[in-house]
Amino acid sequence: MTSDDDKPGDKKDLSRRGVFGAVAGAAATGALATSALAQRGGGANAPLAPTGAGSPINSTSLDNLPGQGGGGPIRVLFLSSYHAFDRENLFRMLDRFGTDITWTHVEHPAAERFYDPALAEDFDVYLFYDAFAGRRTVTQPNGTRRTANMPPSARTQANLKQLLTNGDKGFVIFHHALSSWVHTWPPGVNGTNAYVEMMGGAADWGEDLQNLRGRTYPRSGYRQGTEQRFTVVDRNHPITAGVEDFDLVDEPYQCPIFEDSIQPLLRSSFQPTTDKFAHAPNGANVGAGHPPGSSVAAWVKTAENTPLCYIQPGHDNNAWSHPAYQRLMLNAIKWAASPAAKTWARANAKRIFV
Amino acid sequence: MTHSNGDDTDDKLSRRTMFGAIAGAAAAVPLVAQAQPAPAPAPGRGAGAPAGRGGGRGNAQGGTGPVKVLFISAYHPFDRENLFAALDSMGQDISWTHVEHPAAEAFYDPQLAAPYDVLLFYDAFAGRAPGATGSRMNGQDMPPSARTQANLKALLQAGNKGFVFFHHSVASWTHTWPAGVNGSNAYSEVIGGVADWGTPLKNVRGKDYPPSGFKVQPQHITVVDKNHPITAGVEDFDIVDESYLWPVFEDSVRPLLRTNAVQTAENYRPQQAGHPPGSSLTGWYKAAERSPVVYIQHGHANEAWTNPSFKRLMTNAIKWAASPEAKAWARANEKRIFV
Repeated sequence: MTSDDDKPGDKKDLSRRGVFGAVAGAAATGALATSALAQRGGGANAPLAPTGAGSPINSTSLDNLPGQGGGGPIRVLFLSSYHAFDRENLFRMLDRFGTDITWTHVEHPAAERFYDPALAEDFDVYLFYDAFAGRRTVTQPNGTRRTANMPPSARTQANLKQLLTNGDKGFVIFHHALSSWVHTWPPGVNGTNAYVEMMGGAADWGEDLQNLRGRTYPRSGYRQGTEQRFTVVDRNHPITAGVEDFDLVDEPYQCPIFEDSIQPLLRSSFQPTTDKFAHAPNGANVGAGHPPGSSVAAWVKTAENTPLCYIQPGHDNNAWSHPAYQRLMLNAIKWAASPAAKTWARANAKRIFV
Repeated sequence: MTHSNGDDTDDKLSRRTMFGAIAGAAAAVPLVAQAQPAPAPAPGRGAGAPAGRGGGRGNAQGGTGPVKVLFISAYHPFDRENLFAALDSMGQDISWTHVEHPAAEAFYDPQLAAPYDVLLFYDAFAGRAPGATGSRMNGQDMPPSARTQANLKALLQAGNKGFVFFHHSVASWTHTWPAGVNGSNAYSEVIGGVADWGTPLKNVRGKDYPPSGFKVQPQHITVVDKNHPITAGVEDFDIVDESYLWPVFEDSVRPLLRTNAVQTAENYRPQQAGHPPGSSLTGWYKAAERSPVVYIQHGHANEAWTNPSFKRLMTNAIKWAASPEAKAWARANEKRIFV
């Protein structure tokens, strides 16, 4: 139970998970309208949050926040893990979508079980914020520990292929999720890592990427705190509806993106070239010899019979609290759940998995 | 990608740390010279303030310890970041993975539960669909599927997992899990008590109850079994937390903790009128089928989660539930529950 003020049973428009009440429900009404809540803590392009211990959230003050988990008709499975993030603020962005979505969090390694179509029944859209799926920490004989990239099991591979082939879910992938399974998912029909082909790009900021369409890429670059203007390059797509060009400070990458296999929605004013990543004292965080990256910052594509959207920004609350970013993300989720997107994906099916 | 994390040193690589050896070295160097001027801290951030984990500062998210914990929540709002941070602070001992309902109940399946040592429950109202108002306080209770029932029974009978329940997780499946061998809701019999603060409880060991009580109040907690591993290092303590007035099956549990809260209907709300005096127990262990089960009533909010005694109790409970000793004890004290 929550605070003493909760009076069950006399409230309207409650969140599905706002067990108690009214307060949370009312706040959740009009998802984007309540983005004012987000702005209270520093809005668009506000300075990056202090990353110290942070001020504790008072448990009794959940009242002014949207209901946790949302109550909307689109059932979103939110997959995360293996990459630290500002959990509460990202969760609050999802909560703010609560009149449109109901979201359920699962972390790896539990998350990959939901590639299984039988376990996918309760969900419409898979929203990926995971990273390094398949990576484990192993202890070596001398006692030191290192990370090892483990391949997906045969069942996990078969499940994802089946899920994408069924074409009855939508996939939305953002930011560092571009780094999952990038070393170990077996090649697809074109000889390249099929998970990477599913996404339309790949990143790994610690290890080289091998054999992406026949080429090896040095480790990817990441550049936090980069001021960018995002330009909508496809104004007719539902995902960009109501989204004007916007400015945002976020973390772009220098990494391989398969521009010939995606439909761009947004481009960043930031052109990822190695010289701009030379912000670490040891030279650069992008590997030597990395080719210039792409400025594409959001795209749609199909994977087998499934509609997929990737959105590159989304490192922290600077993005998650930005009204244009919120609209883009919510549009992406709604599009991915829509019959129109699934029809489009089937009509443009892209064979990926062997 | 995030900034360097103090925990990402070679001798303590996080299971969730993104870098291997190479990037670990690179990441150990602070990123200083960024294009953007160093931002000044934003003053006066209100409720929207980030919880301060903008990128893995502090304890590693998810922990790095050997006991693999599946943390199950949903349907009852809580101060997420602070509870997560409390779990992270146990990260030397545990690695934890979050799953929410309805995804969570898939992990009653022994096959899906295989990678985990302990199931830690902070869910509530499992099985309940939202009601007309959208609230789960008075929504429609849906029974677990036949497969879900069979899975949980098999998991508890296998006896190779530990179960730790705390606080409002006594409110899951309270109206719909089919009766067990003694004719009472088998899920409630697993835990050893049951609560619902909105809907009266029917046929709890043959008796009906008004809605359960809840009250945040200062309490003095007495350790009544000082020889159990769960209370090791825990003295009697004071805590401000939410107590319940609710049915507890005292004759089926092994007491660990008692509160001095006044457990009568008069000390709660009008909705509790007619509720019999409640138990003062706030912590116990028991066996369910062949599995060790711990319940800790405390844990409503951050003032409990940051209480050193609570943290010690919770860590001890998880470690005990994962231990061979607990599993041996549970097998020796097997308690048949499911039909």
